[in-house]
Amino acid sequence: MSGMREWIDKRFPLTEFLEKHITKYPTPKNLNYWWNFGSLAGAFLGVQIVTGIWLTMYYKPDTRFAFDSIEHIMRDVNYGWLIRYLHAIGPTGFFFAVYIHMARGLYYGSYKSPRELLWWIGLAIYLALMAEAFMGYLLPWGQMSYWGATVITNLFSAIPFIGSDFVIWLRGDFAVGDSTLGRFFSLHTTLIPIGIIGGLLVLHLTALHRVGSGNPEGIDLDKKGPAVVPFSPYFITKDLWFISLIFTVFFYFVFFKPDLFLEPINSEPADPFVTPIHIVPEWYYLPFYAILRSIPHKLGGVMAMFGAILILAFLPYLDRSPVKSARYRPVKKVLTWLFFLNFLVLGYVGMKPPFGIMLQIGRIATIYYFLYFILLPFVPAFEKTGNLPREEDI
Amino acid sequence: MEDEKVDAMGRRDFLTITTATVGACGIGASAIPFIKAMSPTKDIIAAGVMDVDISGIKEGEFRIIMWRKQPIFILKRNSEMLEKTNRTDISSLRDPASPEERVKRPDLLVCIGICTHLGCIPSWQPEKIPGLDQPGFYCPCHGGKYDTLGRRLDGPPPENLHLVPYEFIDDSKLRIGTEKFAGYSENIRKIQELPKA
Repeated sequence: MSGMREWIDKRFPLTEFLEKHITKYPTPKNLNYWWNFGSLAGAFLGVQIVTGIWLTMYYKPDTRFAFDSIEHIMRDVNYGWLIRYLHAIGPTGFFFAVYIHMARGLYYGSYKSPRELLWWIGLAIYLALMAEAFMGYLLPWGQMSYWGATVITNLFSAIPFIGSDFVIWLRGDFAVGDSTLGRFFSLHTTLIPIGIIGGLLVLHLTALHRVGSGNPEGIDLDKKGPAVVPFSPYFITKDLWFISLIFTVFFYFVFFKPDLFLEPINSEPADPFVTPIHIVPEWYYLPFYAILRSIPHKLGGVMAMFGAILILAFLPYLDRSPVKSARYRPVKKVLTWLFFLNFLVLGYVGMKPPFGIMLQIGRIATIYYFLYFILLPFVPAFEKTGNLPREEDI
Repeated sequence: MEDEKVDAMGRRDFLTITTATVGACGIGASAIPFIKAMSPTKDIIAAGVMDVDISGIKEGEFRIIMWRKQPIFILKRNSEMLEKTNRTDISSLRDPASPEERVKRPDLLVCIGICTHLGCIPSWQPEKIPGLDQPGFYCPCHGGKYDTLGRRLDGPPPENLHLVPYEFIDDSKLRIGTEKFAGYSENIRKIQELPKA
């Protein structure tokens, strides 16, 4: 057995890689459960890819057959119902993990030097994931699929001068149709999951391993930070345990309450002549949907919505404190928890029709969302922090 | 002290092995739905049972119907055909079979119309098979010859035409196939070896 290992090692850096990145990879001992959500997201990615491959065996990407092919999967394919429900409910788990993973980043200053690039790659993954889920949602060709795609592709018509032509090019037709379905199917099953999310994921892990994980104290390993343990077996077992726990909850929904996550009007085939009364995107888009609708100007709303995501990229430069972790930053701690709460409020507002008190709340919440980022550069001026990296360690 | 150490090692190994075993069972169990999902779907299985109307079939009439995407020969045999096949020497056949082993009713042949040589559909010769003195089936691809019971008479085919399960619902209806029966690949050439419904 070890002879085989040596034979391979001479020709391929197998043992070297396994030791460097898994069995001897130093990981801070003090990581708490907020550090589990990255691997959890990876687990959901695995579920989506495997179930997606199987669905592609039976799904027909043609407007005449798409809807019925999914009914075929649900009724005739052995365990088709299970594969479909896993794939339809998976994104909820995936975004749940991703949002908490990002929240960890916000709270513990994971975006600060030397992890800026890691943070930006993560944002790229997040954007790719939003696009992936959006394109996937068109595929069932239900009422919400069709109208959701119509509304979101229409967003791009807000671009000055080239907007309308761009939307026609994007759709491949003057309205969402067979051309749109075909290209969304192609990108959803090939380029975006494997090329972008898979490729970006490799970059994300590479960037991580270059600098090592942060930790709740915010003091890095090379500055007399926390003690370390090898990643394998300690964090492999911790990660597997937590994934199993969350998957138990996930499977509860998949097996006992699948329709909780399936929009009822999407059980009707798409009708280009009937717009549903209540167009709602999936829950993970709701906060941004609320931001979009709180600005009473077409281009302004679109810019605010995309801006809300892009502003995250500036965090490494907006946050000027040398202290990483909010544990030792009393002002930032409060502001950040309010930010999380505000995000949930925005999500709730996004679900509701945009008028009356809801619109007012949405506008206040939108203002606070951006205010958080505007305030951050000024916070160090008056914040009494703890746990500054000691001068002799810098 | 040493006892404690030995105990601690034992505990760790036990936990590792049991967790790994349960994990392996979990992975196996998770794989099952995906493997089963690739098997034929329920509509394909249901299509395995098909009713055919044979009320109008005349003496000497030959029909082909499609069942599970495979051609099925239905031939109403007349008295000359019956006589001819009864007189055939069974031991001279490459794939010996008596008429009782080939058909449920002597006057109706129901078999799979795929040549057992390389898979072409043999052509019905109501008068004479080329080179022989009786009606039957002649395969144009490589010259295989079958009698009106689908038994191989001449040419490269190794076996008689394969059989498919069938039942007479009444005088006008023939029910072909069972849910799980695959067809040609099951390689059944005697009525008695066909699966029950």
